[in-house]
Amino acid sequence: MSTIPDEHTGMLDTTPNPAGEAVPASLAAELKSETEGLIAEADAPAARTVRSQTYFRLVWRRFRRNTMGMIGAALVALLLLATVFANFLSPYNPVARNKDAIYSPPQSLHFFSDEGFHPIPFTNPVVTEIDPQTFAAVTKVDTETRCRPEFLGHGWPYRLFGIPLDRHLLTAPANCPWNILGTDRDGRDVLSRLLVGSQLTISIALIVVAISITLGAIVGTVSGYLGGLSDHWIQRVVEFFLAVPEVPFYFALVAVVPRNLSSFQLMLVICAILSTLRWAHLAREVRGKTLSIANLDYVSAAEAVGASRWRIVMRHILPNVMSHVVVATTLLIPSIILIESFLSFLGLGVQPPMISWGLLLNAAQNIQNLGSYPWVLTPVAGVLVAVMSFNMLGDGLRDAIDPYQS
Amino acid sequence: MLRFLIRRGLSAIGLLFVVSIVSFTLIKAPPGDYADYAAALARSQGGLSYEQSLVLRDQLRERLGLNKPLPQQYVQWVSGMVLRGDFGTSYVYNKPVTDLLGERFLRTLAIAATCHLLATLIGVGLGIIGAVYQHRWGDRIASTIAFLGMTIPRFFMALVILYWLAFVIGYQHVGAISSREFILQPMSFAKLWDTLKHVWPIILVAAFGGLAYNMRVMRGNLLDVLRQPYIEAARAKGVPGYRVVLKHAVPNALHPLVMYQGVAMPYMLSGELEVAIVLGIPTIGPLMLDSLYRSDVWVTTTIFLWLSAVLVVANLLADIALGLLDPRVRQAGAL
Repeated sequence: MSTIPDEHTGMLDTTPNPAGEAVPASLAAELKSETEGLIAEADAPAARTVRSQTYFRLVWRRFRRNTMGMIGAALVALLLLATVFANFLSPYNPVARNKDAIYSPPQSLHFFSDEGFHPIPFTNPVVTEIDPQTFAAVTKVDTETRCRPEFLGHGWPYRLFGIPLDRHLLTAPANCPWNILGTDRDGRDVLSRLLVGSQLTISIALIVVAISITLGAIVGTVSGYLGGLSDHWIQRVVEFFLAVPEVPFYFALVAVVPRNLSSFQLMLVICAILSTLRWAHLAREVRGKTLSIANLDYVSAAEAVGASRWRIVMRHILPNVMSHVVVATTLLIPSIILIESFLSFLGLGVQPPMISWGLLLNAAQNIQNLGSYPWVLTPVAGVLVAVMSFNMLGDGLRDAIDPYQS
Repeated sequence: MLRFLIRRGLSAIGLLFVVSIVSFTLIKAPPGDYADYAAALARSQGGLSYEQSLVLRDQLRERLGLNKPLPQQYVQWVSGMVLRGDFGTSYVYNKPVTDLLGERFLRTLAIAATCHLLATLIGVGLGIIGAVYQHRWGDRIASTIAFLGMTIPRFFMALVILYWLAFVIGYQHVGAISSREFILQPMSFAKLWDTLKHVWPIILVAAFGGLAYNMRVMRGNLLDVLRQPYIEAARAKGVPGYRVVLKHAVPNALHPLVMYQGVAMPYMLSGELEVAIVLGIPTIGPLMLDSLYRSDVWVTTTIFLWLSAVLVVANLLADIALGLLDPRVRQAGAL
């Protein structure tokens, strides 16, 4: 299909823009949808075969105007890229211990020195000395030595899509610390752990959301389409899951998990536990949507033609519900990340050989630790960025998803 | 109205039944029961031999009815709760769970209710601001507050507040429910004020997270209502702007919010638990976490059961309130 010149649409859209007062808001929306319809029609002769804009183009056009949504989409894309290439981006092996750098504070990055500009930033090592009078540990920055990482140098081995590799974006120099976010109690690099930890956190969120969404969409559609007594009882079950207090329920389930599971099995169990509640809300929404669609003429027409129930649900109802499911997915991911981080923060989630953001924050649970080494709290930045970006994307999508309405 | 009440009441009882089944399953799920625990205790502390302890275990099973079939045990358990208020015994403290929970549970409820009230009031206020000043600064500020409240992890907020109180300003009232001199005193205004000085971080964080949802629901509803013709008519008649909003629009936008209260309450309870755990304030949260660490299954499950029961009742109340407000809800009960 041919594209419409952008300045054309832009002009049409910006001229009537009194949105804000109660009355013209709907007027403006009407005007907008009318212009869009007109444009779609004007577009038709050029393309000949296609008569109107596809649904996705309409959604995209609306979404593009939402600044927050676009920022969210960009951040989500960056986050997912960083997650996939986390090993490549990590300067250190996230599980390598270093007894010479226990709880080493963050080192500041320097791009400039008296020799001029350095494209690859260097750090000055932090030296801990014992005060001869008080025996207190005093940290000092050694400005003489410069630690320069190697660009695309050889470092610790890892696998990316099954290919064994050992090059990293910035490889930490040997015998010269480059811990720009500091180290933890075993001298492991916080930055590398933060990057690699994203993989588990995001994977858990995706698994849980996939299960919840599938369950919610199926239960909601079936309940809404069948109606009658089965709908009544399915809704009672959904009501139960909606009424359960979330955190205590997860706690109670964690309490009955056997203690002798391997960390991988435990992760799967955690995924299962987190999937128990969130589907109910989606099932409610999907049911409502299905009810309104099931009364539309084309569904009656399909029934009259003799289409099977299965076919009507799969071909005529589910595709119309999908847009809401997509929005629910983007909004569900951050809430799963939050609850998983909280459980792991308490030490109830995934267990140590694995690395997740919540587990990294577990070090901050001890108030003494937090007071003496506040940088153990930095992994929360990952949680914040992930939660905010997915929420921004989800909000933007939700506003864009109904291009035919308002 | 009576039919509506009966139907809602019955469905609430059904929910309670399901909750009790789930709780019973959770109690029975881990291997080992109270008799095993008592036998192990008798071996390690009472000096019984292994064979003697097995005899003791079997006697205990017989006496407590732990060797009966599960449905019978369930009936026994439920009748114990309903008739005698017997919720089992904590393995760790060797005390009835009811004694352990009593005061802490009331504190949790009081704090959660305060958070809920604040979150609703502030959320509705912000929602009205957001809807009336749509796409202007008021709306942007209200929306930003709501967005931040929804996205910042509550335990992180609690940690930051804790760090700030303990290490930056050296606040005196961290990690307790009241100061030393008030612990044994009966409730008074001075004690209430002292308690508030300890628990305000919980209220702040949980209410901040909760107002976001209220604000969004209220803003959306009010925007819908403000577009309706009768509002235009009121404006055309010359009713002042604030009266149009407060008298004509807001009451009609409140209905979905009342319905939403049943959903908001679990959020508040979870929020209270989360923050109280991080700050170590002796309410239900830290007790539940502790029971998890020590596998004290009766305590864990009873807390879950009580909190669920509170929510079922809260949902019932929200439903009744909605039925009183809106006759359509009463009529449409035949769903």
